[in-house]
Amino acid sequence: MKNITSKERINFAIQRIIQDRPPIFLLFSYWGAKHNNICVEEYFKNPNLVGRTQIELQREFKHDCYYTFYYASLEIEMMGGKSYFKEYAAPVVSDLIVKCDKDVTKLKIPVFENNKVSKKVGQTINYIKKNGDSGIPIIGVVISPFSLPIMQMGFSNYLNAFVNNEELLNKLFKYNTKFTLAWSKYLIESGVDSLVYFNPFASRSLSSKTIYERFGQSIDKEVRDNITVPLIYHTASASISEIIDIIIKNGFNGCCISKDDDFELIAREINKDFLLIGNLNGLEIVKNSIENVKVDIDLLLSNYYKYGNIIISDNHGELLWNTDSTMLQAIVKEILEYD
Amino acid sequence: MDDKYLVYIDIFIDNLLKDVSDNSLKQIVDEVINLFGETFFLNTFIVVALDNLGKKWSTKSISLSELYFTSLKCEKIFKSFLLINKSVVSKNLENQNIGVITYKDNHFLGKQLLKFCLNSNAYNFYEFEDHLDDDQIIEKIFELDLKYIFVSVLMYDSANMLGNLIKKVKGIKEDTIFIVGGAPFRLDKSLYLSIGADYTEDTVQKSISILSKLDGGNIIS
Repeated sequence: MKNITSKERINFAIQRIIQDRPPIFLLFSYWGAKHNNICVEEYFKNPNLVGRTQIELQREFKHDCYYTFYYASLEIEMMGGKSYFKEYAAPVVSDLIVKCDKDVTKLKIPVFENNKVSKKVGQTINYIKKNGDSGIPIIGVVISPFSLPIMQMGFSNYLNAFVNNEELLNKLFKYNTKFTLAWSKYLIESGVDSLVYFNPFASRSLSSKTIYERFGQSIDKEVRDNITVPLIYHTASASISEIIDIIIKNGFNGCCISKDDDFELIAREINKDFLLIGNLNGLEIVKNSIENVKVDIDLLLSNYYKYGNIIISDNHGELLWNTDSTMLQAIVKEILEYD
Repeated sequence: MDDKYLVYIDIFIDNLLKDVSDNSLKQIVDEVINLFGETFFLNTFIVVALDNLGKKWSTKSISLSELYFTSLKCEKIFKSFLLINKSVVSKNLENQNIGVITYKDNHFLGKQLLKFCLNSNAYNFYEFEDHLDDDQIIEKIFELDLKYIFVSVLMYDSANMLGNLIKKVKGIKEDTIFIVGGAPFRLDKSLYLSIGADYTEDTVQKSISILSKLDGGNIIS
């Protein structure tokens, strides 16, 4: 087979056409700081460095995407909140920005072009567009309006609100949906080719069926209906099986599979043009021997590559700090040499 | 005591999960108390119910939010009795040497579940402020002479960083016991050992059971 670009390879996968090899997504976010031998906070202060690092890492590992995700709490920073940085780990939210009903009304949709936080991501995307390979897709990330309250309110306060303050939740979901759509639009205009839609709270492992069907499902549909690029549903390593039918019905273009899901069953039963991403366990990549991970890859390829619509990736949505580059080289080599 | 009460545990849990009204729940509680006594209800029945809920969650029969809501209700029931009569609960209330920490994180759900269960098991505990650095945590541990430290962690990298804190504390006071929990420890069963912690369990109630064994106490009166 002639050399094909990453974009072509992914398009083939969407159409379930078996190609030279399955696409590989190595999702480097804060790992880029390790690559540059600097701390995480320093790394994300420099959008051009983030862009350059994506290009360098893609050249080094030959995988099939540029990943412009910084960290989840970045969206909270855009709303006026702050992140708490740890030297060698993904940052988390430092202060809760929604503590009472009034706080919701104070939330404004940022002007993303001018917001000092969001425009860093725009600059990273621009850098990649200018200096990267145009045959490689640029992937952006947005957090679902249904999962954002975990960071805005704190998880327990969010859950309590389902019992005692539905009014606040409805207002917050409305704001968040507007935010997510406007943020997506900005990312698309900046040049991303597709978006990952992080929604761990939709997973049956976290929220109940009742909560998701009552609140989450319609939010997902509104977001999907109003975003123009392919949208991949991601539950950040939580199970997706119980909602996958709804996700497909709502028009999402693919999803990430968790270790708790039956990959075989999902791959066999889905008969639409729908991408399945996974199913490497980020912790095992850190802990296991290269030989064991190679066995996992071989198993994954021999069982599922025949379905055509598989993209190999970790199932958490970002590689852990302790991930060894030798291990990543071995993973890629195993896939490149798969016959 | 025979196992007759187990049938009522199933009914109780079923009703907790169905989100029935407080009144309906009270009827079941009253029936159990009539049959087995108030002391048994508070010291055994709720503890077993929490343990069963934890097991359901660890085997993925219920979601994290369902675990949260049902644990919250158990705590509420327990506290309502505690207000009326403290003497029916066991000696655990005398314990003052337990600390509860959420480490490098702002999700707090794990800590909240732990608090529900500690309250429902009648343990007193000190809750650390959030986002303290290692030195501040260590200072508090020694200032309050805490012996049993429960740590809730969400991220894998935070779990690894916790190893440094444990090393520092044990370097000064070797018999400090760290009981750790959270997603990284459930996914990686040997992680707690590699960071120098003493115990981990899949569910909060099981973690607290470790405490009762360690303390030589028996929460079932």
